[in-house]
Amino acid sequence: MAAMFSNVRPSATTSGNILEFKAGRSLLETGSSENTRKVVADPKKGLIYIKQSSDMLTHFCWKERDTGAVIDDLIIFPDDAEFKAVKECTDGKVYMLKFKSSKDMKLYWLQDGSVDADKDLVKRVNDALNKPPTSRPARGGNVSERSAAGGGTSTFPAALADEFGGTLGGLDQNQLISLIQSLQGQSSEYPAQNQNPINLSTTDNNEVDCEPAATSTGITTNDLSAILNNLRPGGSKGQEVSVSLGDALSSDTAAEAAKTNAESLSPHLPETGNTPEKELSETVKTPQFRQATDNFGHALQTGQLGPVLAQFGLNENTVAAANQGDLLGFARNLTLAEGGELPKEEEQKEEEDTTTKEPEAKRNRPDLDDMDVD
Amino acid sequence: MSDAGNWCLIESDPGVFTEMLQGFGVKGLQVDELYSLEHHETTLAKPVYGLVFLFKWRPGDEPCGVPSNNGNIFFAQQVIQNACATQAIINMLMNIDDPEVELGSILKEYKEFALDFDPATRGECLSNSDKIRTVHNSFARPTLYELDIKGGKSEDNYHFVTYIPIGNKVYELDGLREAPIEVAEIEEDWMDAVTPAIQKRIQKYSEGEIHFNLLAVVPNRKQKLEEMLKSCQEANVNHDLDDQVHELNIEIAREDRRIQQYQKENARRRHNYLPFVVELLKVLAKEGKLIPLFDKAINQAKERAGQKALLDLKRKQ
Repeated sequence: MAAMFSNVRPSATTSGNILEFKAGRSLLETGSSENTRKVVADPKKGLIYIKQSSDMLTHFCWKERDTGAVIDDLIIFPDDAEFKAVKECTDGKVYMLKFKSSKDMKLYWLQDGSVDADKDLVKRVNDALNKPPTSRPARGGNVSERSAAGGGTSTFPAALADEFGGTLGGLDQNQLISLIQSLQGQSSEYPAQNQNPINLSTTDNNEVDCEPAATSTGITTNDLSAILNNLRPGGSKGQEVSVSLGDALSSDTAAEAAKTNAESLSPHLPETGNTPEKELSETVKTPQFRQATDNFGHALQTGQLGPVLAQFGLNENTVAAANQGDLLGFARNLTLAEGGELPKEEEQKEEEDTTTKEPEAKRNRPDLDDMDVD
Repeated sequence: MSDAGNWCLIESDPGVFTEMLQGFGVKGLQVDELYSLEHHETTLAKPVYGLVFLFKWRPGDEPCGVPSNNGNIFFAQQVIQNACATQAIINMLMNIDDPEVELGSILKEYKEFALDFDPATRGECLSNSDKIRTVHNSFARPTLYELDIKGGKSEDNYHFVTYIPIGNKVYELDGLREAPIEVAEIEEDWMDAVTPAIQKRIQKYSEGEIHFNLLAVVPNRKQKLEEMLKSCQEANVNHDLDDQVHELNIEIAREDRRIQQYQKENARRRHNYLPFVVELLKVLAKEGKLIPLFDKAINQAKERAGQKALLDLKRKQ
């Protein structure tokens, strides 16, 4: 299934790393008695990462940081495995990935020196394994199948939340409707038959069991995805050009900000053998960093980055702007969230922005179909 | 399952290829970038074992030579996407016959196994080699998202081919062709013989503003220097070679710095910058600098787009 992060290079290995942290492997050796075993840490530097491959399967991987070789690559089905701390081990932070379906387990030890490294780690890993961001079922015709799998009890909002995953999850029906209306620049109350071709009956290919709500609202998931599809590209009209963030994030302004905030940035630096201070000033000027930021910028303005950013704990508004590929909206909301100062002319701008948010005619961009809402 | 069959894109960079050789366990070789074919005499160590040429691939390009059925050439066809970097370098390594060069167990195993097969089956074997793929993929750029860059400017198809001297001829090994292509006869130095063929290609491409890149596989400089240092030190009983020893040590230190630089770059290549970028955006936001920076970036992009449109318009007129 082509999904949120559909890839035009089908054979690339890159996938969504939902979460990653530095950890080594621990091995089990025979202990002092028959029933005990000893956990021995393997000193190799490693990285655990959880990613989703293009076939939507969740992988739990461990690779050696020195060589880049991927040693463990385990496919985890939701609720198949549990990640937990091994409390019995007192001389290091040891964690266990335990499979429920078998007696198998894997042991790892945390190699991240920072104090906060293990904060919420168990929860974050388990969330990543069991609630991957894009674990959405196939689109359209499969709706009934999926709901059946879910016990056939899905109500309309739940089905929608399912359909739209991280994007709209958690909104109730009324919120959704008002969201659609606001996205379409409507101030009028629901129902919205006049201006919008929202289908008031459930369509044939969509024999859905979202009936209780569907009959009362008349919006089918297909309608909604069509609407959102139309809204998706590029945010406001000014951004149809491809904006490169490489310049912005490699600028002296950025380098300076990085320097004064070394504490929060240093843990995320590559390991080059440089001191953190040196790497911090060097890294932002490297072509590798620039490439990363350009990719980031591209993903951001095509709306592909929202769900990923949600994993970084950015707030709803910021993520929503990212989902729309609205660069300035993203910048504004992030600034608000971080308590930064807004430029003076911002207020004025905000007004202008709302006027440009009318839905654009669906352009002939098939790639967008596969992006966020299938 | 997992990533079986998936090969990542490889950057054409001497650091990447040199480390890839190490990953395969090859000894005695390194990869240098060649900026100009004319000056290869002065810039490259001898012998040059082969060249890896990167260019933008276009369907229907005519081969610049005649297909050869020389059975002494090890040639594997490319059967999968994105493997062409590894394909090109391995095709070259398989044909190097020099006691100074050690292929290492991974490649030796592959060669022995695949030697009797036809080019397509050899390619099949290569793509199915877990060990080779692991080395290749250790250069994967980590991304937190699979980008859909359709229509983006960067989605060009780049392709690597190899040039090697075998006997008195220069061959082009292109995994997308059926057979090795004979491109030139060697009179003295094979590099002189291959130069016109490559230049012709470069010329053809630069007319359409297409990027290309040339890498040379040469003897490992550090290894050579260390051997020289060793014999110098042994012969230096009367301290009359002190200068040479000193000189060699400086050279070796220079090589070490270069290797270190490669390692840094490769560490950055492999690094997932996403958490860093998010954190950087947060601190920029906190300092109120994010909106101005984004504003500027957007305006620049618009300006560039405008200039380009203007240019296109002028061209049409």
